Amino acid sequence: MIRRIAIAVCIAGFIALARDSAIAQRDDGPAGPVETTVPAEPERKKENAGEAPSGSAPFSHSKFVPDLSFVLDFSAVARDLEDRKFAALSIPEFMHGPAHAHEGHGHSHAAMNEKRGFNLNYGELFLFAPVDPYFELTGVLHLSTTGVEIEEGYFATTCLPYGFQFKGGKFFSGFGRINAQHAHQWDFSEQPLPYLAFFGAHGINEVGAQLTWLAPVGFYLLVGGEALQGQNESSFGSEGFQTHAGGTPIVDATGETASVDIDGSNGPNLYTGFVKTSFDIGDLTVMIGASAANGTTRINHELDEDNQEEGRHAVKAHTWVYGGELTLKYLIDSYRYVSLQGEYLHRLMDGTRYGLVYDDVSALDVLSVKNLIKEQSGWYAQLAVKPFLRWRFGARYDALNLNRVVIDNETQDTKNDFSRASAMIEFVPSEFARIRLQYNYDRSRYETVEEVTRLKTVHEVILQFTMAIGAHGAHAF
Amino acid sequence: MKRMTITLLFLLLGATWGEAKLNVVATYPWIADIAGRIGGEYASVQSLARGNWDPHFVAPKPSLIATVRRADLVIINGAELEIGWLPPVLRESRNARVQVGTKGFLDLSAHVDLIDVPKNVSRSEGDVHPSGNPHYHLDPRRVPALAAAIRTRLCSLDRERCGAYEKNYTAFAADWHKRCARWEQALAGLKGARVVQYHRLFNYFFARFGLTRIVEIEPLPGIPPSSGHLVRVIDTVKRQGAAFILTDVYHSREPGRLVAEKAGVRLVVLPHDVGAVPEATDIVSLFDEMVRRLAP
Repeated sequence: MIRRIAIAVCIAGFIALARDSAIAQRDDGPAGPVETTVPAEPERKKENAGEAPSGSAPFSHSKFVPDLSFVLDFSAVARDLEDRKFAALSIPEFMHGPAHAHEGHGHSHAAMNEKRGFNLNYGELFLFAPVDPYFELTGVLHLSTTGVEIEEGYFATTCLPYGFQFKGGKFFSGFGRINAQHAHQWDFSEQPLPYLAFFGAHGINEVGAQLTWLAPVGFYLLVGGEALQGQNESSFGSEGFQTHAGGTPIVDATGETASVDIDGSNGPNLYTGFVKTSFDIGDLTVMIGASAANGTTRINHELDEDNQEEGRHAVKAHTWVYGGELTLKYLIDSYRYVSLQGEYLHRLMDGTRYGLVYDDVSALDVLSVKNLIKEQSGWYAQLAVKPFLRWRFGARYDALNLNRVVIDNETQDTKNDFSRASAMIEFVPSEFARIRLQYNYDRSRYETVEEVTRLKTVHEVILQFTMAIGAHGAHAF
Repeated sequence: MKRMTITLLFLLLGATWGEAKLNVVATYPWIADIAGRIGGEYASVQSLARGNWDPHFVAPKPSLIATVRRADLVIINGAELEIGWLPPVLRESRNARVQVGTKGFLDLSAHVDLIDVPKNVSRSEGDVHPSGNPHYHLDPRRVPALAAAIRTRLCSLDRERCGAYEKNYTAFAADWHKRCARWEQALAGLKGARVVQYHRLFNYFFARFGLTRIVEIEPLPGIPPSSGHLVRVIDTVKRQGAAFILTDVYHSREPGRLVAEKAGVRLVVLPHDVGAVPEATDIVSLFDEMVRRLAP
């Protein structure tokens, strides 16, 4: 049903697009009769130095080069835990190992600040230009020392009437506040815990379609919905799996040969919706939003050997994530401000867990099929103060405050203590360069030693350099 | 019956829209003031930025998007002055009537000849404007051409009221020329005087009134001065002499105050836009106040 509505809306959008009336009249210079009554107007005269010579170049496309910019992120990291041990830490019931331990989504590249010492976190190449009077195209290539990935590549309409905009391709979802922002826009070096735990290192970064509507009211009110393919590493998935994929014969508890074959879910299987509003009270800007995402879940960690504490398992489920956001930004003057931002995310996962448990008696992997319900939530609050033209200070607290896991109607004894506190100082010599010193007091990760899982406090100091060159478009609020 | 009611409703709505004013959104208060004078009773004018803050740095608040959403005409300063904040606002407004290149978008910088056009463009030179110095409105003699551009555009958007816009423009231009003559007379004594400013904000004003700038307090556009640079500025002022140290309302006044004090020269805070100081309530009083603060 939802799918049918989404398709109908898309078609309606394109019909509207095709209407000539929806396209604004182009500016062909001042209107005729007016011009004749006013001849004394100064004519546009531009003789810029550095412009192309006046020689004929009838087929030159050089003026159509899109906005092109390159952002580089480089960091030096000090951490009180060896890289290999840090990589093995997990957030139980949320995330095994560091983000990117699983290579299931077709690539692997370094997580932010992965190694002690120097890290070339990423390079990002941004491309943007109007396609024609109806569309504009954005491309963001995420470059790492091991490969290139199309992080974003989407078209957006520029001519739909009544405040609508349609977007198609791969993009960051409009879910929540921080999700749609690129890493270089974040106030801290890495994303907050709830995002990492629920959506992994990439956030909701999906192939799909988005329709948003800016309401014609006196304040900012944006309503949007998305239909996405749903291939998130932590909460959503579409690919089916077989529990005997390893080739080893599997038996159930009674000793009979067992296999489970779970179908993938076709087409878009992640749907999101969001409402955002903003208004000013004097120099204070308030932004409030609510978001929801729901989709099918297919997680197959069966062959994941690193996953020690949970055993080999796969999950077929349906997942809902709800988010609430609040941003308060008080502008003191052109250069100084105080900004407070927070989000709360809640996840409900309901489905079946297929586990492979080694049975000592039969010396075989025994299949266990159990009902799984996960109800989890997390939040963060961050304060950023820019008291001087070139300096910024910030503090953040992020935590996962609910971790309720019910397996076959039995509430599990799960960890409930995940938190992190961060502080940062930034020196911003210009709009295009930023040097940030950040400290993390991380009490969100657990280590498993001799089958006992316990909290491992990690101290981190990150010196991060982020710089941009070229034509990099201004950022939204 | 139902259909008739709906038709009637649309007719009524249409009638109200017909009577409605043109929604004009200007990026800066000085533009809004001129547009208000030309549009008169037929235009409702709003400014996105405020006059006492740095025009290069305006927060792209979502409320601005809501304002642009309803605009029939967006008038900008241009010459890259709004490049750091307006593009996302314009794009997010989803208002096809006011996008770049449409009839509802007016870039005033296309109607003046810009000065200080850099030969080479590199960010190692600071925050340079490739098209030239964008603060052209501070030459009062250029204002009528800007007003004329606004009038022409209002006319092409709303032909029925063109007569009124024309009348408003003619009255404004005539009055403005008289005022220009008065301002020039008041500052005639300053011809040739040497001045120091914080940013290259008043170059058009200097060119009009014959003032000579010797150095800026900031070493490069957008880069705040180091103490070493300030020592060199003080030294330059001491050697060459200066009538004023000028500072704008939004940068820190400390460097200017220091230079003025050490070099023994008067510090003047000069408004650059409507609303920059309480006295500058419109474009006329902006220049009145600039002249009053500088007049010998």
